[in-house]
Amino acid sequence: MRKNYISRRSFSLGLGYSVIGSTLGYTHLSTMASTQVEASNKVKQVARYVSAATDLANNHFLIILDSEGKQTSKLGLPARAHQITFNPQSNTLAVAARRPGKYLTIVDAISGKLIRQLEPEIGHHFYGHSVYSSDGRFLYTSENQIVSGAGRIFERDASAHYEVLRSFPSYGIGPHEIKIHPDNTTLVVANGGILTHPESGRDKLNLDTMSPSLAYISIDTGKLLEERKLPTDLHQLSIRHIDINSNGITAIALQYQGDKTDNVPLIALHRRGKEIQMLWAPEYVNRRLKNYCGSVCFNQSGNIFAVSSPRGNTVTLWDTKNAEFISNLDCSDVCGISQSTNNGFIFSNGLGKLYQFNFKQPVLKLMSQNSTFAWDNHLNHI
Amino acid sequence: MHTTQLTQAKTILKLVHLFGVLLLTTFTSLAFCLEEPSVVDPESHIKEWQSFNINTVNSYIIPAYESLEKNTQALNASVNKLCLNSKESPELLSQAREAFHKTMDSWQIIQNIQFGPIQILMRNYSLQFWPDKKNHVGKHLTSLLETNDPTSLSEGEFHKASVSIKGLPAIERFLFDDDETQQLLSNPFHCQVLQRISIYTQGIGHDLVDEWQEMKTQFTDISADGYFETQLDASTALLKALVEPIEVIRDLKLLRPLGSEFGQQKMKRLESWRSQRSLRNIQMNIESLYLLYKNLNDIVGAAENTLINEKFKQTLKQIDAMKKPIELSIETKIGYQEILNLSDSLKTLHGLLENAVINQGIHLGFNSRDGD
Repeated sequence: MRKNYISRRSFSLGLGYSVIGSTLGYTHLSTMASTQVEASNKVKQVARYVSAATDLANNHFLIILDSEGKQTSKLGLPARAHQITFNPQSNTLAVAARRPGKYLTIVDAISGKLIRQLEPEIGHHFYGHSVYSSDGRFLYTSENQIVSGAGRIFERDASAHYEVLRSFPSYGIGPHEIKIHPDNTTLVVANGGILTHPESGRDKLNLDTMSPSLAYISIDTGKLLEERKLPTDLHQLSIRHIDINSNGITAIALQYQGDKTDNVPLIALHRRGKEIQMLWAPEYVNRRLKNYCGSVCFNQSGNIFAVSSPRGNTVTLWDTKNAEFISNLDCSDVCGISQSTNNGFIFSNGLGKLYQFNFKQPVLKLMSQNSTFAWDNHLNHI
Repeated sequence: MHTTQLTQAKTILKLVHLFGVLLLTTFTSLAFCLEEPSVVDPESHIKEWQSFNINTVNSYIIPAYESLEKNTQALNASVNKLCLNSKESPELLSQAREAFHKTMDSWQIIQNIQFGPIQILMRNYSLQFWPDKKNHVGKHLTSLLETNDPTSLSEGEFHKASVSIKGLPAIERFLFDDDETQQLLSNPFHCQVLQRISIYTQGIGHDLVDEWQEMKTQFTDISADGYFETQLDASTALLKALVEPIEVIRDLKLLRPLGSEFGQQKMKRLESWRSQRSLRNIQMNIESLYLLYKNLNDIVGAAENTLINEKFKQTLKQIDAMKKPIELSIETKIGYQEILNLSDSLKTLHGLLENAVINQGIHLGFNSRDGD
């Protein structure tokens, strides 16, 4: 009994794993977590981290942290940022403003200094997400064409002052997180489905008719290669945040726009050519998520992914191959998730804390804290 | 003429002066009102927060759970009496109903605590599965009653039953739904089911008190491996239990039944419409939150504290003055408006409390409250 709520930051095994016996179960998970899907290992042994942050006086910053979570640089931002993308080729960071975003800032990842500040094209705004092409030459952003409400993907030339080269449809409304598929030729787009207009701020204008989608788009032609939607009765589940592993499996974190009291699946997986697979946490966990997931991240091996639920003050851990719930870890206001070494994760929260987790020592360990900041939605390793 | 003019001029000057003073006073007070209260560093008041935590646990949470335990015991005893002597039913039925009211009162008083032992094993949902949009309680209860099989009530079997039928909403159906009450008095299996649920509820009441003895130490022995990492984490959990429930009460207990406009109201969305005590639930909630708030009297700044105290008192008076039961008044324009007015008061109260907490340098949540 004590263990259940007193040691809530430690890891307890879900049903499927507890049968193995807890010690064996942990070993099994640890081995599984570290089994490499591919030899390539994108996380350097000594990673650094980056996140947007807001202080008590509501000022906004870009903060770069060292491998122990200590601040190495701080750059003031004009408004709240959302997600940050790293370009390892040029050691730069792209910082997209939170929707309806009016800036895109390019920053030197080593010094943390501003390189340039860009604005969206006339009649557009950012949605807070961007991604570099695998060779680092282009930056893609998810944007809203304000007049039509249609989602657009913009391509900018990272080697030529980030000039806009072209744009193509996102094939949906409200494109949010975008990722590069491991084939390096496909863009994966989470079309959240929610229509907003800067004149009405962040108000959601189409909740009855929203139709979110997961779109796979050819980077070469800008054409739609594959589109997946959710079952009709779940059309109010906004496909918001995604991550993709080296096998091309997409993990999806959802946000439900329907009745607060509904109990709906909030996590999903997608394999190319198949329907989206909805995943359920056990009911007592699922209800705790309060119909809202904040971000999703695969570990290095891609065998395990984590989904944060800031409203439920918890992170759920999932087994990719078996598409099932492993366990959950309690953490107040947790939202940002990054890969870490040892096939684990780093979590950030709104209380200025960073925690590390790996399966060898299955407990959330406080890594650093800065009580003047709230870490914003996403944490990335660089 | 000259004197008169002089007097007039003096009077005008005096008036201008007075007006000036008034204007100055007005501006000063406006400036005072508009001035952003400076945010306090909570670490500099850590002792106050520590005593807030301990007082709240000892004088608010634990007594409330003890009262819940006592009332679940009394409800169970009352249900047993009713089921053993159903022929003498009218008196015993009304006693059981009264015991239900007392239990629901004590649950509503501590419904705002959603962390710790209440969260384990879905006890919060077990005690009260609500709102029940898809009628889970009705469906699962009917299918259990239709088995007419006492073995389904063994501890092991009942443990597997749906969480929706293990608590107060199911008991309410037995005691307040006319058809179900008839069945209860004539069909022994129905009484056995009611008894089973009452025992289960009593068990939860007991476990909550028992486990809070251990939970209590988490507020004194704060450590990195404990339930709370810091004193302020513990304070934040308690402050969430003060502020966040007001939004829930507004959204689920008031605005959801009201619907989009008069004519669209849905009485059966009220929390306890069968026992016609939905407004009493809210009264218990607000009285309890006020009690919890009083532990902050010495922490919150004087001006804010006065405003909050006044708003709590005014809201409770407002509830007192409302036409009852709201299960009937919601169907009238006046009653509908009264509920809407109560919702407005709760909105103001929520805003005041939220600001007071922010001004104390405490973040109830960043990503949880404004995510994307």
